[in-house]
Amino acid sequence: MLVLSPLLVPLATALLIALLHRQPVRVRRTVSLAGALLLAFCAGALLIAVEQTGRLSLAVGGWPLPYAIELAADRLSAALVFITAVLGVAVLLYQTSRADSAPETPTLHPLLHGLLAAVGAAFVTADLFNLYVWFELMLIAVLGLLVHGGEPRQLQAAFAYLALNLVGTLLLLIAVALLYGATGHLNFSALHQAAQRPELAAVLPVYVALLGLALLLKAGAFPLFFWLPASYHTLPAPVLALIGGLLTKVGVYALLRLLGEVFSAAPAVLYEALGGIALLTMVAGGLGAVYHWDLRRILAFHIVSQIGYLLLGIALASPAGAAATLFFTLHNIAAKASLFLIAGLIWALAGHHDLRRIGGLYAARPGLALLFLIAALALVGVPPLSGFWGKYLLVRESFAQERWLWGGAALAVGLLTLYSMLKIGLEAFWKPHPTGDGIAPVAGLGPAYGAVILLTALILVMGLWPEPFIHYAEAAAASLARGGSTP
Amino acid sequence: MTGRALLLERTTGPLYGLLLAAAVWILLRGHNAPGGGFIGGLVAVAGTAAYAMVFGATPAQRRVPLGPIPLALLGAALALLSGLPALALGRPYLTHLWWNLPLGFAELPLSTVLLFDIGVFLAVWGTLAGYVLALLRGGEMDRGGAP
Amino acid sequence: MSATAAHAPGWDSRFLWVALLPLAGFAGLVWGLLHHPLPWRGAWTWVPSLGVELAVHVDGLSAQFLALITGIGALVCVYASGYLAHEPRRGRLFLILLAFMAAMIGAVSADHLLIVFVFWELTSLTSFLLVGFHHEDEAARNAARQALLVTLSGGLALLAAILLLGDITGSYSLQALIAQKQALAADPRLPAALILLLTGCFTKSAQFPFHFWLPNAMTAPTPVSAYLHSATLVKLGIYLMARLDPVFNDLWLWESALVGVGAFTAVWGAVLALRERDLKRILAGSTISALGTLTLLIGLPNPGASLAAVAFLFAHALYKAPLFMVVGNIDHATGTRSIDRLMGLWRAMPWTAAVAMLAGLSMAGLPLSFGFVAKDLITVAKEDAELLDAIGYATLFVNATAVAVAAVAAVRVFGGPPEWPGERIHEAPWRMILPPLLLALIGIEFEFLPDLADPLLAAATQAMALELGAVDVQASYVFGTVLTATEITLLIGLGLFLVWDRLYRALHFTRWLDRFGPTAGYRFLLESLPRVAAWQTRALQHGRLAGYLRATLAGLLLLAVGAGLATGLNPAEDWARRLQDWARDGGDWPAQSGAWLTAAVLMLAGAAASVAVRDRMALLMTSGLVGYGSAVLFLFAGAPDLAFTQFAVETALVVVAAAVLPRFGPPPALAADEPYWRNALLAAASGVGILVLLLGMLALPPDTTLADWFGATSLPQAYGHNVVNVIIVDFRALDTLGEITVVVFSLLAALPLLGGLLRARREAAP
Repeated sequence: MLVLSPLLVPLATALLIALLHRQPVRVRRTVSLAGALLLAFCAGALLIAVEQTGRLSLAVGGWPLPYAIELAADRLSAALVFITAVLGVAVLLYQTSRADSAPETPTLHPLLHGLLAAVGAAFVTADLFNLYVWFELMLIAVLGLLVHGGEPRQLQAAFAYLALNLVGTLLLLIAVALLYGATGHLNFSALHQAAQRPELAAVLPVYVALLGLALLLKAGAFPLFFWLPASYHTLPAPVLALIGGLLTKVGVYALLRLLGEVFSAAPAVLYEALGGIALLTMVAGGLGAVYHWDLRRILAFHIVSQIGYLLLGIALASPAGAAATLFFTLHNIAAKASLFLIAGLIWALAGHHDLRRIGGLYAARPGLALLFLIAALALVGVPPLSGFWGKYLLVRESFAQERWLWGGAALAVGLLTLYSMLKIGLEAFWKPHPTGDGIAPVAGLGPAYGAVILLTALILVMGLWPEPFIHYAEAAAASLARGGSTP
Repeated sequence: MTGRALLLERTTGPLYGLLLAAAVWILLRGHNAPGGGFIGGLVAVAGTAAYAMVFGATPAQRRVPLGPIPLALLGAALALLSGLPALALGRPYLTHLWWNLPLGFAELPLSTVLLFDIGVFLAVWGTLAGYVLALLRGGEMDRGGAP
Repeated sequence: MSATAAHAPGWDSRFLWVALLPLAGFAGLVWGLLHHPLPWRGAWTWVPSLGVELAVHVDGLSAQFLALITGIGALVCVYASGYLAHEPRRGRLFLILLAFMAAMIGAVSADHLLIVFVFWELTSLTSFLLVGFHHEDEAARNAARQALLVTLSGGLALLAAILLLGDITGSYSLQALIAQKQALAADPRLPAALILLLTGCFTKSAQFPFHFWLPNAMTAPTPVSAYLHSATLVKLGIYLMARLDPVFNDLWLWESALVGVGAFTAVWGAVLALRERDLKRILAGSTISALGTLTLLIGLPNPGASLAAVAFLFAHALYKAPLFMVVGNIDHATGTRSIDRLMGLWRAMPWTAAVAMLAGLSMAGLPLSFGFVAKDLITVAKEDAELLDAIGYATLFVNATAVAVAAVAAVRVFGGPPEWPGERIHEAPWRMILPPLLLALIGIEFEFLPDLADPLLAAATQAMALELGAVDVQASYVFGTVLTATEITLLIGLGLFLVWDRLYRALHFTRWLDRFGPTAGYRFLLESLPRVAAWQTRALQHGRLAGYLRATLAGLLLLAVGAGLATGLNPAEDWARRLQDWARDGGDWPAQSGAWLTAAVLMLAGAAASVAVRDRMALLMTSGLVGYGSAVLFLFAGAPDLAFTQFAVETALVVVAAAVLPRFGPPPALAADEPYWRNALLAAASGVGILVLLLGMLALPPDTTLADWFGATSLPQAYGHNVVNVIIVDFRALDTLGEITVVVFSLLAALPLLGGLLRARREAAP
């Protein structure tokens, strides 16, 4: 039943908190945090159970497969569910602080848990249409979080998000329908079997490509990423960390699952094209970040850039590439969320998101500077932090496949990342505060620091002791390559 | 108040009851004939909407049990919970269980499927009622009605 | 550091203890060298999955570096505790300094290339933090950024090189690499790997054209400049080249790159030194020059050059670090580093002057100093190597400039009549005199007591030139010829010193070169990056939603067409085949085709009208037509439930929207420049695309496994006649659970937009 927990625990928490809407904020917060902790506990148990058995599967409703909807957790799923739960705990902890936290309306926590449920369920479902359903829930939950503050600026962003994402959702639905029509199946294993049929060889690749495009839009890849930077910058820090950390990664996960396992027999040209898209995504995201001065916009564009790396691993179409993508995803969720949360702290302390109007944080808050340094350098890929190993795995596999351009670009784009991280560091931390009144002491930031430290610890552990993570990622990739069958 | 409006008010109350009854009927027959929770919910919303158009949003909201949002949440929760009894019996989630309740003259088939469908019904009713009432209330506010 | 700072009450001796840490390291090193023969080896597992282990291999070369790192490190810590006594944030500086030391120790002791890289990057990083220590100052921030961008770029190149080398040899061990010399030389990837490797080393060791970050890095506090930017950090690139020299030294590319770049850097560094008035930047220029000489020496194939490189490396560290500290003392006392304002300091600062003299001797390569030995070895090595004449003259110029720089630092600023009122100038405290004095004395002492230095130099040389047996340092140079060369160098150097100011003005003409030089290149890149980014942002993120939608759709279409073409789908052929089939079968219409056609006409009419109408109300009605059309389709395709639902949803949507829409005011008129035809084209193309895909699917034999099973199982096992409902609530109940959650959450999400039922309630019951 553990396999159900990524869906049921947050969903039940969400409904419960929504029903408790007349209770004081304190009660709702407590229930919310308790729900997140329970999810983390279940995710940990799932991780252990999967490590022991290889793959946990559940046919919902007790009907035989492939007719029932299957929920299944292999190593890939379990790891992503776990990092999701950890991020959930960190974000909800942060929300109890006064650092750019979201207004505590009755719908905030239900929406956050709704998002967690959608993401968790998307990671464990083994059914194509069911996956679509969770993408829908994700869309709606994020939309709710986007309009949550109710400011006109947010409404505009939310509208852009909705309009562009609906295109992706529609496309996803069409692709699912086409694949169902062609193969007669929705279950991943059944689809994997059906994809071998010779009569499908002509059309299936196109449908898979269409599915891939829909997921690329969801993942925020070039040239389909416009919705992302157009909407993210209006969000309060904890919400942004959760959305920025998770949302696009689900698209990447689905691509990895579908292109790396279910339709792994897709023609090489698709992976070739994906590689090209990955490179353009890296560069376009990196350049977008260079242009901006708003902390949140810079970080939002870096999401795009990092998505390029994740896609590159999938495009490499090898177990090593898949392992690199998984490792990089785990690292990226931690580093990215940490940076978004730090941006909230910066806002709380220095009073603005615009780098031109803040400064002096290094002198006043060296601890925060250190946390930023770690997260930023991890994102750049400086050793011995988590990002280095992710990048190393990717570039090594690119070179091993003699894809010099891919590997070289992955290395070079690190400089773009470095440039914008330096910009944040120099402007927000090193430069004296432009108005000279410096950093005002703000009370009630403890939980915010706690959340950032939690994520930073993860970055450090992944960097200094990467062995278990890499080993795990390689095992996960190996089971993907076997087509999901248990060893 | 014109006669026509009076007539409307007179008929709307019974109509509301009738529509709700129809909705429940559609819900219950759904497993064996066209119908089910989703369509039942839509019919119930039609009742709420009709009531609100005649009497205003606030009275209509009072006639929705618990209020629209809690009702919708409860519906979703009910559907979610209907899968749990199976776990107690060691069966997968959402494995539906059936009991035939003997009433003497007939057997009443009870099942978690019904629970699930009721959940769907309530979720649809509550949510759409929430939308309709909020929109209508917005309209009232625009016309200078009570905020 | 201002002069008044020194008069503040009480020298603060906190942080002096920090020096004990590197001192302990130095003592441990000496003890180890005396008791355990080199090389020292060790290995601990770290990331077995990647074959990365913390492998240590300390041979003579590593030991020499370790001695420099710990020895000079200890002295620099003593010096810094005095120099920074009044710096409130010096705790941070010491912390970073110690981290840097640890990283350096790791980098020169590691045997695994990736470990070397890890520490390599850490030294870049700590250097960045130290250069930007005075971060309130914009120049310091920019210098720090420049240093980091340049060195980390090089780091990326180095990583690529390491990956290539690892790929070629199958191992990341330096020793294994050296052992696989033959296999490496034959591989076609080697030139690329070499270029990348050298790029990494050149950025680190400030070789042309990456040298420009070093003079700017002089914004760092002086102890940092003395330690990182003359003695250790910048030598790390030299170290790696020296370490790999045995592998590559007979390759043409290696030799020519090192000799060429090294010689040019040496000359250019000398010119840079001549062009400066700031003492610290003059020293930085001469450091670049020295680094160039070192690179040149490593590039020379003969073993004598290796010995010369090792000796010069040692000598340079021993004289340059004290000279930096001297400058620090002067800066500390007078508040300036400009040679135009400094004169006659010897009376006020006798000890500092003495240190400067001792270090200057060595730098000038005068007899009685270790620098003399090193310079001699260099001369001998060059004569052996049959270099181009041009390089010979170049090195003569370089050495002469070193003499001149030494004279400026040791004679010019201290000699002459004292210009400074005595009470304002003070001698530095002992903690700032003892360390440079000790270093300078060692530089002299090594000449007199060669037994102390020779074993280490010999061992280091052997690490670079494997085929060499025992190395006898003393026997390696010929006194006679060397003396002549030294005399010539000294004479020219003296001449340069005398015309220093005139030369400075004369070299003004070289400034026009700067417009095309590496500094300009760096600035150009730094400035064009935001420009390119701005261009991209204007082109892509213009903030107009319609544009985003167009771009997204166009991108999708483009990619989809590309995918279709690439995977060999040919819709035209498919179409033709289907039409042929249909004609052959006699054009039979399916039974319900009349109803289907009706539905299709409804939907098409609705869609076409939607495009044509501008009024929002009308648009609502016409788009409703599409919905009703699909409901008709569902009805006759055997899904009355769906049809019913579709009717209900569509009606509700139209009614509600009709009630709400008027409140939004009139629709915005389409802008005149709105490319209507472009939208129409995109929409039509998207539609055609989906149609083609659908046709492809319909051409396939249908697989009805799922549908058949649902039909067969519904009644007997799920107890329901209505298959659709059984699917919804039982077979695929999880989907339904998800969907009603979506529905409920949509309400939660929309609440703020709807004006808020909850808000109203809160107001009612506070």
